[in-house]
Order: sequence, then structure tokens, then C-alpha cells
Amino acid sequence: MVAETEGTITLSVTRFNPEVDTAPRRQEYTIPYRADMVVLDALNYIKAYLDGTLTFRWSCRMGICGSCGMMVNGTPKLTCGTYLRDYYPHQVVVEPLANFPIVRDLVVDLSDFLHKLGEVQPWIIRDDAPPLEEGPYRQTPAQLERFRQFSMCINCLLCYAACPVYAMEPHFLGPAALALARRYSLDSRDQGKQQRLAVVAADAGIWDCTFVGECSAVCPKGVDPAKAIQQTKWETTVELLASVVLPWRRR
Amino acid sequence: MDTGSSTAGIVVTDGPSAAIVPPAPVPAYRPALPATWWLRNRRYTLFVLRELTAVPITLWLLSLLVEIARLRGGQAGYYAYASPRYVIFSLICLAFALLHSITWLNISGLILRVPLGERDLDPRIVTAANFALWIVATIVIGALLVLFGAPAGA
Amino acid sequence: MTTATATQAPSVKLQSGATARKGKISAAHALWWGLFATGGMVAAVLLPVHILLQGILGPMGVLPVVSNRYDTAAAAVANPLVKLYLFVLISLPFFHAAHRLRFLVFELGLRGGRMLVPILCYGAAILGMLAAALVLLTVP
Repeated sequence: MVAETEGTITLSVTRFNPEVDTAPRRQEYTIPYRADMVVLDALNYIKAYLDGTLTFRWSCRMGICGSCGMMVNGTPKLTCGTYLRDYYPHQVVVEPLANFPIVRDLVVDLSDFLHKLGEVQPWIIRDDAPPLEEGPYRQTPAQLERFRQFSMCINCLLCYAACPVYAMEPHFLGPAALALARRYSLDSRDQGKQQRLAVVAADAGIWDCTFVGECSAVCPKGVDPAKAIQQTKWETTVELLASVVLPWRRR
Repeated sequence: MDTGSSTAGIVVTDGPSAAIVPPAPVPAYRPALPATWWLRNRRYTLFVLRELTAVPITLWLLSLLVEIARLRGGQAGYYAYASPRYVIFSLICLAFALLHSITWLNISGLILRVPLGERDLDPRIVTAANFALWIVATIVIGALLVLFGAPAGA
Repeated sequence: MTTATATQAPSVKLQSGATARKGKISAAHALWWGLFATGGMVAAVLLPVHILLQGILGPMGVLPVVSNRYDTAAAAVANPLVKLYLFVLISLPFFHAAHRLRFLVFELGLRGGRMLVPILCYGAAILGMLAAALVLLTVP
């Protein structure tokens, strides 16, 4: 460490060893503070110099891999982009991402989300496969713009930690999965919208969402999953109504 | 690869990957959401208030229905609300109704996607149009409520 | 590259004990949501002016509002277009409120009642709608 420290700061971190503990507890660590430190730096300092048993996920440390999501003072955040100076000199509480089973310390079990992601079929679905000689699909900038925002998701799952519906109904598909479903359904290359709607607009899909909006508020990439879900509700309802009122329309 | 209907994760049933056995389930701790979750930050609290606006709106509309029903009593049976208590009740209902209107119309542009060819109409325009509709409707209905309040021939 | 459509609708047991159907667009949910959205728009755009005039300024005597006097009120409500308008104004927000409350009670901590709560909420809205229809049709 080359730079001089500017004081100390205390982190209160969740600890949980499933082989020993019945419930999580908190442990405090006081570390040297610099204004350019992020919470992830603090955790890595703890692991390197104070307590090598502290377990947490991280990778790119630049806000693109989505691995380091945790609760910082009760709010879901990417710890690689959360600066200690916004909390200094007060204590910073670091807890595992809410609404997921805690595996160990700050690590949570994400398999529920991974299953739901598979359920919405987040890939281009085609009824036909154009021959190779036709070359690649072509897309205008406007067609790309239609779904681009929803494609920015890094699967960090801060939105699931923020969503009270997901907290209370674990079978809710959740913000990220529904936003990604819309990303593909809006893609001009895709022909699988009805197929996805059979999952997305079924029970425990979009209809469980009550537009709390916290998912979009905490999303670090501006995906706005709340918008994706409400738009899906609106379009599904209108199309269903149209199919009843104007049954001769071919879709 | 078949996703199956199990919630335990993606299960591979055939092919070379089938030989891979998934790891044993990890003993995990599942925390529960406290009932006071909505007091934790301003946005959550505003959400609950927004949803609760449905209650005063319903109560006021019921009071309007009761007033209309009094017309069945004829000239002798009918009276409009006039008590200070009703005015206060209406003031509270109006506050909640305004909260509903503002939060509802603000998000209307987000939800009502208007495709124009390949692009969408700017959602801010949709929102502005909805607010304009609110203002126009208020003026028109307000005018009608007052204009027809003057007795015939006056 | 599977294009398997959901020909059967597998069920999932929800934590509450209710059963959810995956693999089919839920027309029931779409219906209640559609009524909720329409009712919300009606309440948002039309209701405040009614509360302001018929609930505050009229009762205070500041403005001559149509509902203040029997002759003006009866004349207005006699008009079938006014009856229709009032029916929409009063009934649709009932469905809006029913939908909101149905979800809110769970979010505020109610466990169980996953079948009963929607029945009570939408049932109350339907009763309210019928009451409004009855009143408006029986007022001369």
C-alpha cells in the first residue's frame, strides 16, 4: 500500500459457517481508510490481513461481471462501485444479498435465479433457420435500440434483493429474468415471443409484480426491469383483448 | 438439454454431460423478510402509500353513490353533503386522489409504448399528453358541474 | 435449438400452498390487470375534480355545484349519458382498488388466504358495480 491512510473505518460483516453456526452473526473489522477505497477493497483488505476465512464473491472489480453484489447498509449494491467515503466515518454494514439462501458468509445460492433464467428461454428462437448462404441477420440501429436497454443486464441480482415480491413469493420469476425475456421478444431476429409469454405471462410471472420499482432504482446498469414488466403486462393484455374482440386478426 | 420442471436447477438427462452428478445440496440459511420492510426506505414507503390511495378513493366514491341514491327520496328526501366533517373527509380523500393521479400519470408514459414505425414515441411525450388530458378533463368536468348547478331558468 | 411449445401446462406448488400454472398465458390475470389499469386511469383523470367540487367547494357553498340542489341534481342524473358516465366513474375504480388491495395485503405480511383474498376483493368490486348500476337505474 503506497498511499498514506487517512484514518480508520469499521465494517460490520455477516459471518455464517454452515458447519458450525445455526444462524448468521456479525463480526466487526477496523481497517485503514483511504478516500479512494471501495467496499470490495475493504473486504479484500480484511481477507488479506485480518481474517483469511472471510468468504465473498468478486471478479472484475469494475462493475461488469455482476459477481460482487451485497447489501451495504441495507441497500443492494455492487461492492466494487460503492465508495467508503460515502459512509465515512460511520460504520458500514455489509450483508449477503437479500432474498437468497446464504451459503457462507457473504456468498448466496443463486441457483433459483439460474433456473428461472432458463425458463424464460433467453436466446433467439426461430421457427425457421435461414440457409447459411443468406449470410448474417441484419438489424438497423433503430431495431437494436428497441431492446438494447434490456440487454445491459449483468445478472448481478441486486434487483432480486430489492424486490419485496420475490422476498415473499420465491416462485416469482423476478425482474432480471422478465427483463431478459422482453429483451429477446423485442429483438427483430426473434420469433419466440408467444413461446416466452406462455411462461412469462403465466402465474408467478409478470402478474405478481406490483410495480414497487425498487428493482429499477438499484440496477447498476440502467436496465429498468420494472418498465420491461409493466410494458409486457400492457401488451399482453391488449393482445388478449384484441384476440377476443377481433378474432379474425392473424397474429 | 431439457430444463424439466424441477426447481432444483437445470437437470441434464442424456448425452455425455449426464455422467456429471450435481453436487449435494448445500445447507443454507434462509432469512425471512420482516413485516416492516416497507419502512426501510422512502421509495418503499411511498409505494405502500400509493397503493393505499385505493382506500380513500373507494370510500369517497361510495359516499358519492350514497348521495346519488338519496335522489330516490325525491325533493323531500334529497340533501347534498354540507357538514364540515364531510369537507374534511373529502380533503383527505383529495390528497390521496392527487397522490394517485400524479404517481399514475407519471408512469403512464413508461407503460403505454406507442410504436411509430421502427422507433417508439418518446415516453415523455406520452406522459405530458396524459397530464394534459387530466388538466383538460378537470376543466371540462369542473365547468359542467358548475354550469349545471345553476337552476334552470336562472 | 428447441422449439417445443408448452402443450401441457406443468404445475408448480407455490410456497403459500396454492398451485400456479406455468406454460399458459393467464387470461384471468390479464383481465383483472386490465380492469385495474382502466380503473386507475379513470380515477386519476376524472376523480380529483369531483372531490374538489362535490366534496369541498360545493358543500362549503363556494360554488353552485350541480349536486347541491335536488332540482339540478335530479335533472342531471336523469340524463342516460350522465348515468353512464357516473357508472364508469364509480365502478371502474372499485376494480382498481380491489386489485391493489389484493396484492397489498400479502405484501404487508398476510400469509395464506391465496384463494380467499382475490374472491373477497373482486367480489366486493363486483357488488359495488352492481350497487352502482342498481342505484343509477332506479333513480328517475
